[in-house]
Amino acid sequence: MEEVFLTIPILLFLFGGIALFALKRKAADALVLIVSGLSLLVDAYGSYKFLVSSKNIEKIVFYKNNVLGQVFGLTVDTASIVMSLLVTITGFLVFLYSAQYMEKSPEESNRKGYLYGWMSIALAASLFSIFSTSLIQTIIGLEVMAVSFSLLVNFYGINKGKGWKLFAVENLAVVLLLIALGYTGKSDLFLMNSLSSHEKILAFISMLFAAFAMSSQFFFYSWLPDSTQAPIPVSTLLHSVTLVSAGVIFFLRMVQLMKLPTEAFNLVWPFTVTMLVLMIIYYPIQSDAKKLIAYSTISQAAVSYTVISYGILGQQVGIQIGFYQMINHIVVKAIAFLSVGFFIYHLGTSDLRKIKGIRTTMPAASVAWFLSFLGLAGVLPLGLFFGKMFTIMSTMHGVGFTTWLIPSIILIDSGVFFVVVLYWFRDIFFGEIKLTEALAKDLAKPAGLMIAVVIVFLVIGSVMPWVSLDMVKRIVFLG
Amino acid sequence: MDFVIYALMAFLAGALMGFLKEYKAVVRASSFLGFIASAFLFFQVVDVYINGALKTNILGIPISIDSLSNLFLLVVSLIGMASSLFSVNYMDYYEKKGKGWVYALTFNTFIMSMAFIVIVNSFEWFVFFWELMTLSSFILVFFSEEKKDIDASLKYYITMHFLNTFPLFLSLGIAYSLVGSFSKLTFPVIAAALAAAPLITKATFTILLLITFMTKAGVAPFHYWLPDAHPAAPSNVSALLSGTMIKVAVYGLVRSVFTIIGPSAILGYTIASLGTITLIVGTLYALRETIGKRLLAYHSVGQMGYIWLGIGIGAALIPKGGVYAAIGALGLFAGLFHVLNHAIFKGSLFLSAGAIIYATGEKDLNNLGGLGRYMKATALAALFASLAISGIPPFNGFLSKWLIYIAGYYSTSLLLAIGAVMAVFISAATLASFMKFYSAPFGGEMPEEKPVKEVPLMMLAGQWLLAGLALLIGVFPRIVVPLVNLPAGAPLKLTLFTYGYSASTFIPLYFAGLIVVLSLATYALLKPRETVKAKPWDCGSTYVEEGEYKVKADGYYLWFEQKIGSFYRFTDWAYSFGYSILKYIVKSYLWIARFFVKIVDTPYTKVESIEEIREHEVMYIDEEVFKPLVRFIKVAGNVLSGVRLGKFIALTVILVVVIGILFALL
Repeated sequence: MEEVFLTIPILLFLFGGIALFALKRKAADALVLIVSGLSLLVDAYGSYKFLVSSKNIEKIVFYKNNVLGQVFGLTVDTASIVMSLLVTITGFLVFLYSAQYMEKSPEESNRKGYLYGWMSIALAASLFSIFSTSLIQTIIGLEVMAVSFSLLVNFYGINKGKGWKLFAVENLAVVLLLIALGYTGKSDLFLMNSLSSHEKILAFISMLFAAFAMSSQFFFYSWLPDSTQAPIPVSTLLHSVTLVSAGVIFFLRMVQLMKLPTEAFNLVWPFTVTMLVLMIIYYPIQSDAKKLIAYSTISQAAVSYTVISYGILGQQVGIQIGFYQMINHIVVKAIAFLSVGFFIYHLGTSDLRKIKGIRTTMPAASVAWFLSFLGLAGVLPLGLFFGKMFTIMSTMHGVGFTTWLIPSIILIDSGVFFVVVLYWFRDIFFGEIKLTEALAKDLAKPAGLMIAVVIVFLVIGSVMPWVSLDMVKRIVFLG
Repeated sequence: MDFVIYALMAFLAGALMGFLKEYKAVVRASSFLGFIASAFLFFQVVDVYINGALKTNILGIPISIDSLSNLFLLVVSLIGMASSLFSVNYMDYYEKKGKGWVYALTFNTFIMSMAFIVIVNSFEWFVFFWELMTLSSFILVFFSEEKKDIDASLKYYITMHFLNTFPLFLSLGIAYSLVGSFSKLTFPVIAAALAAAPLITKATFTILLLITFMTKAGVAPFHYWLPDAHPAAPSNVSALLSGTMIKVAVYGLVRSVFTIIGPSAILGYTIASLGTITLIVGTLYALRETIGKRLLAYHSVGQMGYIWLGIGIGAALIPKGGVYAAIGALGLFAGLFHVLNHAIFKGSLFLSAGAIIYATGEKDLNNLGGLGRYMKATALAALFASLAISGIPPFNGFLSKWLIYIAGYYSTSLLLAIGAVMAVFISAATLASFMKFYSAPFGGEMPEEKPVKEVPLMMLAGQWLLAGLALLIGVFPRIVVPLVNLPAGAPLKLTLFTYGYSASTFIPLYFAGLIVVLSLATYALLKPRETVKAKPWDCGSTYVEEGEYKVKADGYYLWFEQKIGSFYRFTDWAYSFGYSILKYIVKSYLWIARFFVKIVDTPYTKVESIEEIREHEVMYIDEEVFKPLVRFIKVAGNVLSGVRLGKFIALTVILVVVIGILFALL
């Protein structure tokens, strides 16, 4: 039962987050690093204990109801363990990055406590959802994330509607989950296995669209590109280890636990394929680096949903590869955002049309940008190459024309993104830049800590596909 | 003995040399370690040749070095050694770019990945190293950072992504669906599963792999990237690209046809036909080229045609059995032998071209001349390699080309015989082209008298390692032929002195001796007179500059080029057709994309480029659908100012409602 240690990071992030609101500048940096560092250590210990055991799953119940089943508790399996590790590692590294990044101006530095506080609470909520197989626990986690991120998106006080859009969409997800809860009368996904096929399909539709809303899938997708107006560290968390991934994990749990009828497969792929097609259209017209990453997040999440949905057809490899794709995406996405953070930090813009010659002006950032953006297109050495490779392999489990349609669309999507990135690469990587005195001053700003964080992420991103491949094989049907 | 492990360690050490501070220290140390690693690969080749096939496991990667892998590992090791030696000094040329660590990392990764492609026994690892090879070569192609080189690298990488990565992933998917396991995708297992697969699956698998290997090998019509990318890279890398990388594609072709898919007449004729078309297109385009490295790159396309023709003959005839199988094996052997030979002389030629650039900074043959007097060792190496590629005995190129012709003639197939005849004709064009390549920079006078020095010793060593081999193998083919013939098993007539098939026998040593004797005799009898310098006779013309009397590279075959103008017009039309397709794809995209940006306020706005469309704000479907509702809420909020709630209160109310529902349910 050492897995109960995994509760500690949730509590640390939650109470640490509350305490952070009172702090500013270096004091906020110090506390957030202590909180996230301790969380990482404890989580690593709990995860290690689980991974060395031969258990497939461990359920820790905090509150149970006879009708609803488990309401609050921890469902510890390889999926939640790997995700929680990613949450704590990414959290710690992003806070480390933020300590320097948020020094751009005295105003930002003064508001560090507010920023870290909500980020920390969002991480707690994310962990709370990740370890959940209960609808109620997921709803609470989701609601807290919605509140945190809607406020964080409005951090700079510009275009506040975008934060509220996020809040509205996530609450739509909450409503859909409440409908599923009301319809089934069960909170525990384990218990939903006992529903009739018809009931399962209806509950699934409601929960699927809730998960879609969390991951910026069909139909409400625009909140994610809009949310990139948040500070870079916030966007990094939002796109990697919190809302978007929580939606995917929730969907994985449905497929893993509910033993859905095979017809449910056809409720997933038409929507995810639609999103992929939409993103193919959006990539070339976008010149803002952050929004370009957001489109990529939408398409990568769509790929994960699609591959996991092969689990509905009885292919266990679907949930394994879908998860593998998602965790590799998390790291590459974090690097991509942090690399764009350098542009904003030094040049004050993420508009790729205004950026030139980063090869010489920001060598470290340019390498991170090059590797991560091409990595998002599935290029080596980062893990999405393997994610894409195994994804295409596993899509051969489709039925009828989906066997060729789905891999084709996935490849076209990554191909178009690849071409777009390469053309931006030509324009921003090389080119001439007018080095004015002000620009030279901006470029000389210290960024050592930020660079160190990105290097650590690059190492993780290169090692991750090798280390995690065997781990994901332990993710099995549990229903 | 697993020399590959030592090679891997040396490559890694070479890559890590990037951590050194000084640019020169980085490039020299990493290049030298690249040489050491390639030498270990060479030892591995010798070890396998002596002790037989090797099956092992390195860091979980299944390795199998059979006779076919061994031949291609030999190619990688030889060109790797020569190129690395050459690089020790040559990379000083790029010192101003100041990114030694990029070179150290990518150069070593590039050679290492090629070595692993030809020795892994797993389709997944094959794809992994293939992609690593493409990525590292892409970075090396834009190393100079000149705009046209960057464009060439983009063209290369985009082509590879769509015509290599995608087909490879899809074929991997098919293999997985047949085998049913991620971990058992070895070549023999895939072959067994494919044998029992439906015809449509087998055909799809074959077409996907064929597209992959055609593109990487630069086979027409997918050769368009090659004449841009190979010259764009630094010359030591060009030698690897043309000498080794495109051969790795041939390895993929041979491995997939003979180990996985199985040879068949239709496949063989297809490969041979592609080879014939490619050798014509590549060589005739090379003939009119005046940029030295571009000329060489087009010849890589042309020579690849010879190789595909030989392999096609093998794939078409071997399944027929009997005497046809023997001729097929001969064709396959000749194709494989040309792989090795082409790697050697083309590697040497690119290094020589690099030496010219290093010494003069000039790439255009029109602006070069008279270098023979200053760069004697480079000139002789270039001469040897030029004669070798032109198929002139006693150099190695003759031996492989000659057997491709013989296999074509003996095949009794009209298609294959036409291929062989075309190969002979085109060989003449190759000779013509290399007369230009050699005489334009090394012969005549310099356009402007400039101080030119011979390149440093290490650069000469790189050139001469290969140029010397071109002659050595040409005179003593027995040095390598048994190794090359192991995978093909052709019934060759091979002794220390003779080389041939059936009644067609050639004695290279006698021929070489005869050439030497004739040359000495000619020299003795017709000893050149002392050169007298004189002004050209200009018939009294006063307006022709003296320099204009020199025949420049672009004037060598102008008349011939005009005679076959319709060929160039047709192929140029094919190029423009390809570009038109791309143009229409972009146009169609723009038509769709304009519905996703906010240009409704100016409905007659013309959007003719992606840059223009980016000037407009992006439009999201969900946002547009709900816009009226959002507007209504905003207006309602403003009108009903009395009930206007602070956002915090609104948030709290929603939270309370949600929590209330939850508690109600509990």
